[in-house]
Order: sequence, then C-alpha cells, then structure tokens
Amino acid sequence: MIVEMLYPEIASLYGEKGNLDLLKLCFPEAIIKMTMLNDEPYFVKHEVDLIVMGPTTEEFQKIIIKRLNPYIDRIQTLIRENIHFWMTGNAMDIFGAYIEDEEGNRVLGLGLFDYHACLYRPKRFNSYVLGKIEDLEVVGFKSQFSQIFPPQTQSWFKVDRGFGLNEKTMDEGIKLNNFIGTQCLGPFWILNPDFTLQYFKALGYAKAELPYHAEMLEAYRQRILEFKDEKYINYP
Amino acid sequence: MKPIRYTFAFVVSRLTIIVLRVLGRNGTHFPGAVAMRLCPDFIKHLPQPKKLIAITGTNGKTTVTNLVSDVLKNAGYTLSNNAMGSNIQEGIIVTAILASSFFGNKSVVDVVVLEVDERISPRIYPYLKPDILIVTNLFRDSYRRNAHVEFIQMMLEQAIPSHTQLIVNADDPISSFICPGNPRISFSLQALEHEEQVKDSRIVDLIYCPKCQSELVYDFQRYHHIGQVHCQNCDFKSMKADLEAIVIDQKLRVQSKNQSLSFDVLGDNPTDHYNLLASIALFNVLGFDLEAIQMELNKLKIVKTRFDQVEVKGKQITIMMTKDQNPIATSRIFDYIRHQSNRKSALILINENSEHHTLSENNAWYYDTDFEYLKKDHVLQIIGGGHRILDLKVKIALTGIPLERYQSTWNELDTAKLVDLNEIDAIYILNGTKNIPEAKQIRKHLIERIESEVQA
Repeated sequence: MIVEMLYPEIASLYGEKGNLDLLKLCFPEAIIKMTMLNDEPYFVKHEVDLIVMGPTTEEFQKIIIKRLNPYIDRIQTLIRENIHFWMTGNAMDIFGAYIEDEEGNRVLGLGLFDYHACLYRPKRFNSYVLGKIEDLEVVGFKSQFSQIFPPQTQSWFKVDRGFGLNEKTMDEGIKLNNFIGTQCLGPFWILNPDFTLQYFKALGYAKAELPYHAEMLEAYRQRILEFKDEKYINYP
Repeated sequence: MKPIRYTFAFVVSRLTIIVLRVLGRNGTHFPGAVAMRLCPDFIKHLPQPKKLIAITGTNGKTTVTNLVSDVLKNAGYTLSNNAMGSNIQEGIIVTAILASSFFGNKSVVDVVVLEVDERISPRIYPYLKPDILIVTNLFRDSYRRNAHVEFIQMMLEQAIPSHTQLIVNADDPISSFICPGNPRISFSLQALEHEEQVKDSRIVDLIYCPKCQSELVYDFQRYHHIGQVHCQNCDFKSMKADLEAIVIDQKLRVQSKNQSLSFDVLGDNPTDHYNLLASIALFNVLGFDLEAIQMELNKLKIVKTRFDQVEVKGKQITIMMTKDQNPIATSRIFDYIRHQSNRKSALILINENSEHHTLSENNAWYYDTDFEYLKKDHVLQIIGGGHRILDLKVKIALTGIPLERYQSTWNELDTAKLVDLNEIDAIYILNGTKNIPEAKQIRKHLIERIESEVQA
C-alpha cells in the first residue's frame, strides 16, 4: 500500500499525527510518502492508495490551495477512480468552492465540491460529535473557526449529538466515492477502533483486530457513555 | 469624570473583595465578574496605572510575573499584581481595582504587574495599555480555546498598542518578531559547547520562512521551534539579541552592552533560564542597576506550585506543573525526566477533575506530546489518575511503552498507592493548574508511605 501524507509538517494540528501512528502500526509494510509544502505531491506522477491531510492554520490553507491548484484534474480523476482520501478538520475547506473570512474576503478553493467555508474568528466552534455510520456509533471532537455551507447531499453521516458541517445541520462531513472529509478530530481513527478496523480492511488490512484494539475499545465505550450523558451536551 | 455606573460598580466590587477577604477567600475572580455585570464596559473606565507591566506568552507567564513582582516589592515599589488570581478579565479587573483609589478615579500604586492570557489581549490592551510587555514565547496551547500559534499571534498583533515597549525572546523566531513597528529589547540563551539539541519533538510550530515560505534552517534547535534559524532563500533570520546569556556552573552569565553579570539559576531547565532572563531584561529596560538586582534575584526561587521537590529517606518526590492540555509544557517536563537517568523513576499523571463535571476532555493533545521521551529504561512506572486513564493507556500503548509499566486508578489520590517503593527512587507528580491541592495530597500520602515502609 502506498500512502501519501500531504503536508504533515503544517497540516496535522490538534493531535492528528496520532492517525499516522496508528496507520504505521497497522501497515508496517506500507510505503508512506510525506509530501512537504514545497514538494510536488507524489500522487501527481504515481499511483497511491490513500491520501491523508489534517487541519492547518488559515494562512496555510491559502498556501495549500495554491500548491494543489495545478493538480485539480488529477485529484478529480483520483476521486473518480475510488482512491481513498482522508481529510480532517479544516482540510475539507480547501476542496470546496471558496473560503470566506470575517471581512467578506474570498479565497477560491479547489472547487471539487460546491460547498464553501466561512471563517468567524475569533469565535471558536467546539463540539462533541456522536453519530452513526451505518449501525456503528462514532465519536469525535470539533474545534474550528470555520463552518461549511450549504448542507451537502453527499454528507458522510448523521450526527445525534453536536453539530454537522455547520451549527444548523446534523449532516456531518462529505463522502464521494472513497473521498471522506470530516471536521471531526480526536484523532478519529484512534477514537473509533471498530470503524477504523472496517476502514483499514477496505485498504487491505487482514487481521481481525487492530493493535491495542481492546484498549481503544475501552476508551471508546467510556466516551460514548460520556457523550450520551446530559451533563456533557455542551462543549464550551 | 467617570460614569456613575462605573463608580457604582467599582465601589460594589471593592466592597465584595473586602467581604470575601474577611471570609478568608482570595476574592481574585468573583469581584471582577460583579464589576463586569454591573458595568459591561467597566475595564474601559479603569484609570491607567502609573506604570503598567504586562507579561504574556504560552509558557512562563506566572513565573516571570512572580519574579518581577518580588524584586519590585523588595526594591520598595508599591505594587498590585494578579499573581494570586486569574489572568483573564475578571482577575485583571480585581488587580486594577486594588491598584486604584476608593472610587476608582486614579491609580495609587507605583506599578501594576499583570499576567495576561494571550487569548484575552484584545479585551485588555486597548484599555489598560501596557508600558512594557514581556512576551515569553508562543507555542500551540489549548486546542479548544487557543487553536494554533498563528491565531494567537494575530490576536496579539491586533491588540498591542504601538507605543508599548516589548521584551522578547530572540530564540523564539515566532514571538520575537511580533508587532514589528514596536520598540523592543530581546534576550537570548547561547548554546553551550556540548548542549544537546532536541530535534525529535513531535511538533515544531515554525518550519517555513514567514517571508518567502522556504524551509528554514535551524542553526541551533534547543527544543520545538526554540533556537536560531535562518532562511536560505531570503534575509529572514533570528534577531541578534540585546542581552545574551550563557549558563556556566549553575550561573546565568548575562552580557549586555556595558555589563557582564552572573545570576544564580532558578532550575535545571532552559525554560527556567528564559524566565530569569526575561525578568533581567525587564529590569534593564526599567533602568535598574543590574548589580543591585543581582542580589535580589539570587534570593528568589521558582514559586513552589511550578516545581516543588522534597527528599524523604533517599526518595525524591517532585511536583511539576505540566499545564494540563498543553503538549509543549508536558513535553518539556518529559524531556527533563528522560535526562534524570540516575534515578529509577515513576511518573504520576493526574487529570484536572475540576472541569470533568461538565466537560469530557479532548485528549488529542496527547498525540502532540512527546511521550516517546518516556521510553527509557529508568522510567519504570507511569501511573495515571483521574477520568482519562483509558485514553492515557491507549496513548502509552501506541507510543510503544510496555503496558506492564502502566498502572491507573480512577481516583487520582489513590495513585500514591501504586508506586512501587521497593524499586523507585524518584517520583514525579505532574499536575495541571487546577489540581495543585490534589498533587500535594498525593505527595503527602507518598511521604507517609515512605516513612512507614522504607528502611532508613
């Protein structure tokens, strides 16, 4: 398996490097390409199985858009070809039509989806997320400056607690073929071991359990209970 | 003439402080909340102190505030500070009230020293304009509140008045360049000849040149982004410090333009040296004779809530503040512990339970923290206490630390029972800002155990 981490040195805020730790443990034979900001992305000239990018700062969002802009067609092809994309936090803002800041200034995104992101700094949107993907309960955290509009028909899952792409919708994330974008942090793979097992199986993981599956599951169950508890509804 | 609403709020708040103190309470937060409730723009009407010194930055604020205040008090200045209270609006208002006349018309102390949370700068500096602002450093902090360094930098840039004299750490290429138009004095800690660079930090908040986005070269990397950098593509580089220091034989030798003096170090960590240097830089700016304050500073120690060490029957117990949810502060302490290889060690990590009744903590910060530093043979036990012990176990496992070394208990006070006193001779209790009493209780239990179980 070939995995490309896009800009991990700047686009892995809020502990998202934890996802990479788990990935490396599960796929010790995988070739992991770390693409730095000033490098040409590996996917441009090579086949990849999974492309991962995490949250970044608002200034680096703009620079990343510039860096990826020449490769919009290639990204579109990869999405069409069912290559896996895992985009977390505000990484998914980059793939929309535009990002609008507090003063109404717009930066064009990659335009691969018709949503747009709005920034509301210094307001921070924090939330627990409890939702279901098929029959599996999933948990996550949100801590972000942006919200995504309008709600998407291609959303990934319904949120029962917390909010979705923006505070007025319970539809969370984007899923188109194997492109998954979610604002959920955690890191999500570590917080949701049963989901991750399924996801990794789709990438070729052959074992019945993840490493430290039992430990992750115990923490997951505690978090599910907490997120269902009325006293934890608000995440100030 | 101040508005009646302000004067009323001022007097009520002052009386609230008095009542709370008679009742034996600190009264460092609530009276500030009362003032804001009665007069929402209260802070706008507060009298400007004769001299306002503010201290901000991710780490080191409290230590520097305490050092500076102690020396100023000993030098005979009348002073008000928020060292005992909160560093957000309410605490700052209480400090300003205590520094003012009864009706809040004028400041009555020589100096006000304020520790200011970076996040609330825009609500403070436009009204209480600092004459001098020390920016200790900028790192990523609470994800929920502070987001990332770029955001905090932006908040400070928008809030700091243009006349404010800055004191900055030249070894921090992020915070040292803040507000480029402001006057500044900078300090730097020179690399020792054999000083080990820490290049294995999980996070480095400055990788690219802020001017041209080329990758920066670290000429010396003390830890994270602290060190000396230059850009190979443009003229960006770390600034040349006005005050340079080097540590030799437990002395911090400070070289300014016309003086060279030695100060006793506060501790073993570079962060301790930076805190001391920031204070020395301030006195330099204030025009103090550095020789005169040398003796004063040499008398001081780090406030015991930050680093508190005792030894009982050869077993060392150290309480260290990690500032829960702050990956940098915790990593710095893990780095310290990994270098204490002469003692078989146990770490006790406790959660801040004060928030747990309403908050289910996001432990993502574990994945930015250098737990890898604990993969050392002398770290025999890692003991978790509190509500997040299952998350901690996962992190320890994923780090590759054998799970046999991990024990835990939901009740953080019971962590003392889990220390293997037959094996361990150094115990580090790592607490946050809100669970200092629990850390002290754990230490008390440990001392009792050592007294009864360990042969002299």
